[in-house]
Amino acid sequence: MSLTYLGEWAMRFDFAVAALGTLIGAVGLWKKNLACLEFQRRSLMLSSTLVFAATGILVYAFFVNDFSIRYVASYSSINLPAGYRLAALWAGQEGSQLFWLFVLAVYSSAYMAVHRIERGDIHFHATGFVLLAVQLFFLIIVNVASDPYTRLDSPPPDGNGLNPLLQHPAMAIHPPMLYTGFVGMTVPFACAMGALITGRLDAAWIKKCRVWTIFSWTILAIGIMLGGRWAYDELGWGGYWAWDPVENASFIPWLTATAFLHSVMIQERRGMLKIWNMSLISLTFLLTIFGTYMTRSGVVASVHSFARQPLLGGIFLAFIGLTAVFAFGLIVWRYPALKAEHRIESFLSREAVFLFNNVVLLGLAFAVLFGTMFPTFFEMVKGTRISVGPQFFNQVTIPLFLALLILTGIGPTIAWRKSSPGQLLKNFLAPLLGAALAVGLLWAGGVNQPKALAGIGSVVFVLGCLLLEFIRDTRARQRSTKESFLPALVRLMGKNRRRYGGYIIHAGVAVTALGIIASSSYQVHREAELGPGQEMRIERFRLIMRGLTEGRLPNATWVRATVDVFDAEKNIGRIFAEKRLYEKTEQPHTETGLISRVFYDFYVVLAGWTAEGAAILHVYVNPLVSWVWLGGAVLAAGAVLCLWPGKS
Amino acid sequence: MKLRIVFGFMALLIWICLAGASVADDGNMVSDFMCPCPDLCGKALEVCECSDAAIYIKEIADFQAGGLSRTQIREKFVEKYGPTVLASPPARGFGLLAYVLPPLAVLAGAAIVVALARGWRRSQIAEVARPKPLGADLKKAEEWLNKWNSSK
Repeated sequence: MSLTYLGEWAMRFDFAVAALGTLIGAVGLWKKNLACLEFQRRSLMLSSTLVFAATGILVYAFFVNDFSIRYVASYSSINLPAGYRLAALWAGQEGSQLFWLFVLAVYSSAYMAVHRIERGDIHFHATGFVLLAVQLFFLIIVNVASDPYTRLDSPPPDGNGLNPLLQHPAMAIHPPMLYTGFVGMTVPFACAMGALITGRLDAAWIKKCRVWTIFSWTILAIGIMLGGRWAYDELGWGGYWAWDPVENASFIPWLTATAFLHSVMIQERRGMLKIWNMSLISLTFLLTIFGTYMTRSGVVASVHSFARQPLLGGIFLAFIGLTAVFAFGLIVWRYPALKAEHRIESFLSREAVFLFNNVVLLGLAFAVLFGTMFPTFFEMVKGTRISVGPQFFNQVTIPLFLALLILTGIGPTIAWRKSSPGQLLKNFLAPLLGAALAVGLLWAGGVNQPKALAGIGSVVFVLGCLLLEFIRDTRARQRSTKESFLPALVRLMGKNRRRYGGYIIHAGVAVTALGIIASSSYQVHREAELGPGQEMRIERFRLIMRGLTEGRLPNATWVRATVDVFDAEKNIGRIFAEKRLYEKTEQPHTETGLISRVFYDFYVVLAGWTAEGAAILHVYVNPLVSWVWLGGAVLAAGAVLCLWPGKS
Repeated sequence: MKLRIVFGFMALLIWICLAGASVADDGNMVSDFMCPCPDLCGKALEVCECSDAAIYIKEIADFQAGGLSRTQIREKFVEKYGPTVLASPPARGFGLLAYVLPPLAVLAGAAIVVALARGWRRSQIAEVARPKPLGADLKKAEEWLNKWNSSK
């Protein structure tokens, strides 16, 4: 008997464990019975362990080429390099659902371990109950509608192989990061629901919830950024974001989680927006499930999505509906305890700016969701299908992103409760003048696209606001402690990590925005057919084609163009642009050639070749594109500072 | 007044960018289309790397070289490949909803926030306007308090 049967049985048995645990947990919460709640906690731990076993054994099946399992036969092959066998776990529908469950089980275990000293607290158990209920839902999915352990009557001698697009190192990191961020939103949702179930609506749940949200939000942001990097390196069109439904599905909950992270600060500081925050975190969780539904049910067409599965879609929709009724029902039930303690005193206050920031973020989330679903709505109403591509999303979201960018600068520098016109002038005059100067200089230098000017002006404004805030606060500390500037700055940030970590995150967003604006507005693209020794020019660069070579990988053949690049007369490097043909899938696949510099990327794609040995090249010069990922790194650094544990 | 500034600013921003996008004609027509390949890859033509994409891009370039306007090329492509070839919904009829609803939702959200905040402020002002205790009342209360403290 194969070891892989153990994985299958673990998955089946886990369904019973989670169902029983959820039922007993519900009784425990209803009767406030600690024995029942302890049973539920142990069920959650056992359920998670069984999920680890089921997932681990499926990975093992990939490594031992057990093609009796249909999923392994569909997404692996004997010649698939070992490093990519792990990536095959999330390459298809069934495995990706199991992987969702696996990440959730990791979170459930982590939550139980991190908060273990709260075992006597009913909120801890109520949170565990929600986590177990969500786990049960995904166990229903993998056992009933999307079974990764389905067996084949006659196993093939070899599998179909892995999609070549997934055979990239980033694919081993990007999907797990995305899942970790996406699934992580379950924990803050469970915390919030736990608070509503138990009526423990004090500041404790917010503190807990905020930390888990920042963690998941950061991981999701890094996952989205890595996805962009993978698309940039692998898809060969010179860009990194194509508004594909799966990209959108990960971005929408990130937007609502961002809104939550801002509005929850108002609740902490002023005791306001309690209902709003509960609704936002519920919405964020629902959007993660809806995003999974969108891409797993086949309701929208996407390069990443899987085949249409009505049963799976139906189960997802039922769960979304039930969860929405459960969450918003609890909010209505606890309405008297969720009333605000204070009111907004002025529109010139941080509370008001955060509220407008929430409106814009939710507007963006709505615009992206509506655009993604619009082909489905259109088909339902008009009977014909249309497409909604990057052109539409750029058109509708750019003004909202600009408004959001400006609020990113205003938010941290405006006072709580009320600001006077004098304070506003003091805070914003210099950044505004800086932005105006930057726009003037760019205009004089030939940058004349209104959107680019507005965007770069906004970035300078944001960075100016943040820089001034750092300088002002450090000087204030210097006055009281007599420290020199740098130690004062470091200690200031150490004393209030959350605040200054947040500012660094805002700076990261501004840097990323600068990269996006510059690279999307001023990308230069040329195509040419070059034989060995022939050259072409693009901007100030000169390319000399050296020749085409052929070679083999264990599971693919490749053709490679070798190109030397010169900036004026200085050789800045040699580029290898490849086209690969994978044997199993017979799909051509691009490996772009890249020279990355601080101010530009030189990006070459081998689009094809002629019988005479000439290469058909697509050449791009992408200004400031590496700043997109630099901003991501700054954002991650800010988040680490926020999450760094204090002495207390 | 401040309210008008906020709304004016948001409306202006939305108008500038939507208007700018709708009349943008930078010659890059490829971004107007999705890839209509028989495999139904579902990608935008400008990002598609399937083998047929180059043929469609060349077709657009040929139309442009032949002097056809943007609208004419779009019509020709829709005629040949169907309405899914366009990368944006038609800006008429039901398709118009896709363009109008997101900015309207933001404006409606902003209006709700402003209306709620104004209501809060009004109730706060009413609270502040409630009659305050007079100096004599306070003095009397202080005397009672002292008396009560000394009696303990």
